Amino acid sequence: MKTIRKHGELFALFLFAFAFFFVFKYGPLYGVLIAFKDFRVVEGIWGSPWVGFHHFAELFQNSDFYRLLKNTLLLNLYLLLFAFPAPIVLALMLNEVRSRYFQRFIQTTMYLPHFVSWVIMSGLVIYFLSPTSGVVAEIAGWFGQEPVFYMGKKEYFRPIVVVSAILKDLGWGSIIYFAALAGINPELQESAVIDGANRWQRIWKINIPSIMPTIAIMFILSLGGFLSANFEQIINLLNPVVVDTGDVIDTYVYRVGLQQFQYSYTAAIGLFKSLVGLLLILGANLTIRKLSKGENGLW
Amino acid sequence: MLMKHKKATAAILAATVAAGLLAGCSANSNNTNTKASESPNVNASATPSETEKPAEPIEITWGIHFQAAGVVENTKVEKWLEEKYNVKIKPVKVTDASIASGEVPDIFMLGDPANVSAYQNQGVLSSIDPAMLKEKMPEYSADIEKNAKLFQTVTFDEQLWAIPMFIDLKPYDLAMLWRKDWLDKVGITKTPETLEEFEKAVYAFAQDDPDGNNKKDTYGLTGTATSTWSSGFYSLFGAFGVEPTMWHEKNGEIINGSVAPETKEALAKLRQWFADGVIDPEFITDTQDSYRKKLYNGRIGVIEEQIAKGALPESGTVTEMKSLNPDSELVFAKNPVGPGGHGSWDWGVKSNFIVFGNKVQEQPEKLEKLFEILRAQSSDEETINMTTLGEKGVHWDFATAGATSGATKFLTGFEKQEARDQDGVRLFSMGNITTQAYREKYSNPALNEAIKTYSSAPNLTDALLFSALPSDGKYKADLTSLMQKYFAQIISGEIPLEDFDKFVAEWKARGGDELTKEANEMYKAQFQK
Repeated sequence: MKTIRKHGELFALFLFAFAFFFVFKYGPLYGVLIAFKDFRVVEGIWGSPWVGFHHFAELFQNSDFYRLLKNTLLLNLYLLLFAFPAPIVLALMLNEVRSRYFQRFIQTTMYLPHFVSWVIMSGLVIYFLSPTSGVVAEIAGWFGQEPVFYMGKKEYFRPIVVVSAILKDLGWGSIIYFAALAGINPELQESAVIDGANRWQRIWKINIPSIMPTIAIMFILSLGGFLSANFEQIINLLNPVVVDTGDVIDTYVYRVGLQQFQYSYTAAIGLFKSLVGLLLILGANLTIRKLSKGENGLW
Repeated sequence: MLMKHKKATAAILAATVAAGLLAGCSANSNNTNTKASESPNVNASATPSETEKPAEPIEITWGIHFQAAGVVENTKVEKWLEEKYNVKIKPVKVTDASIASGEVPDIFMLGDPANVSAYQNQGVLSSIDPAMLKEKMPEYSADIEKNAKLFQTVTFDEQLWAIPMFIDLKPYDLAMLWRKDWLDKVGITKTPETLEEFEKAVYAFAQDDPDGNNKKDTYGLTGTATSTWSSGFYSLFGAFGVEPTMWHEKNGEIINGSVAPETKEALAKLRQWFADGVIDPEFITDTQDSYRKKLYNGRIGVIEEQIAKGALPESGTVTEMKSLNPDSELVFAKNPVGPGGHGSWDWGVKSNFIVFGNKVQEQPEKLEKLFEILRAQSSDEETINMTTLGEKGVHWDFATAGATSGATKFLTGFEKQEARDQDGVRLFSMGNITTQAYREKYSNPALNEAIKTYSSAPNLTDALLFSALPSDGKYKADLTSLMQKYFAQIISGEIPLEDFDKFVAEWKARGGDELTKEANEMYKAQFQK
């Protein structure tokens, strides 16, 4: 009580933020119940009949489910391996550039693709990869290579998704790492130089460990979305010949769920994804805390 | 001193957050889910404009035409309707989300029996008494008599759930639009009519350099594998007498065009054309937008086009092509005749469906009023014109000055649909609810002639008039996706033609057999003559 009285205004402020999250995020959570019901608009959430785990059973028995799961997991694995480190690398490299103007210029221009909608970006990707009119085919021609119809081959789909995702969000994703790097005490760098450390040693021994907490947090957060995939990106790049490798859980939900008001079924899928995401986050946080002896981690 | 400041700042901040919270609350509860730029903060204040009217105006929540971009409030047309029928209209945009949140308009339109079935399953529609329909809308009922089968498509559990509309002369029927200048250049004088002539022409387009630039950069035709049905190839399948995903009646049995033996023949032909470089390899990623653009850019030489867009010199596609390439010439032709006849994807006599929200059945006076307005929209010239065309002399007039019938045109400033939407034109229109008599009076005779000449109708329309089967929701989307994948791969040569048999087996196992069974049951019960 003494604490509350001492910091009364802070609690008051907190109360409003808490109310905000409670009303808009926790309050509607009861709607998740429709995953266990046969939701009918007219009867509302409480009036609709219970069906238990019927929708989950339907999901797991769907012959496509394992293909969708595999595609989703593989895609997210590739993204984790390539698209996650990319902004870190960019931030580290750009941080070493001496000219502040050059740094700012690169930063600003690289943010821009993030704001372009995937509808446009995917159109550009398809166009660039076109074997007859695309830039990539043109450049391949200089090296004497035959143009390959990348978008028409299912082996190329996942790499295309990963590369285009990197191109689009690289700049935006590096912002947080820049902020973290800016917080490094310059005296550390100076003393390292005096001790004879070269640039690589400085990056490896000072910069990276200093932003490790940030990296750990970003990593944990991205694990939460491991069963999602950027729906906007994939649905715009998808075409019939690449569905074997490109169809993910979200595009399936769109195709099936949108047809006939299948709210309960798609709510069940959403619940399943959230559950897996939660387990991954908890697991990752625990591991990271153990590895860093209690220093890093989200909580 | 500092403490006071801290408290004051905290208080102000807290108040701001609270305001934000409350604003968010009210926005949520009044959320009408419109995607339009206007955010109608709807206050249904029913103050009648005329105080001498004895009855209170009835409030009607009206779902605007589903092709309209967004709600425009208090338009000219809305006020005209309110005055004439003593109603207060609240226009809303119908989306899946708005229905899901329970906001069902009193009257709105749906495009497909599948939609009607889905909405009815959710319990958001009112059933309609066919006897009442006949009594309140006699002119419409007389006209639709010969297409009475349409009622079957929206009758579930012995009850009628929608008012079907029909159309017989369809301006959106598909036929072929050729580059005449290319035909001339490759030495083909007669516009192709048969499948053999078609084949000769598209091969010539691909191989004989019809644009004269000494580069092999042209193709005969392309398709759009990414759209739900592959436009571009409809006419080819039609020449073999089938259309994928459509239900066909053959010898009293219902089969699906996706697995018919004729489809394999059509695929064999398309596969051959692709291998010979006649079909644009990018058909796999082409969309319905890029389809026409490829004709404009001189990359392909023939497309499937709606009659209204391509048959007359003033049609949309023709004028667009001419503006981009003044040396080009286009000619319209019928679908090629092949071993299975001729035809393209035909929507049949089906048009849209008018439905009532579930609350209407508890309000008989509202139902009366709605029928009154619908009857006027079907047979009263003034009402029809106002809601579909606008005000005569302001928005539209007859094409020939001084005429009292025939083709109409839109006046300056209102040629674009968006401009007319702003005044409320089309928002409240019901489209094909009009009587035959009206249609004859207000149609463009040249267009009607073109339709009669070029359309392949009634070939190749759905034997069940596109009704929804009970298991459609479970299987249809997946089966269509399966079909698209296999067909695209067969045509592009990625898998052998024999894999078609594998596809048929898979299609049947994954729900196709069940759907076929249901289709046959429905046909025998409702549609068999």
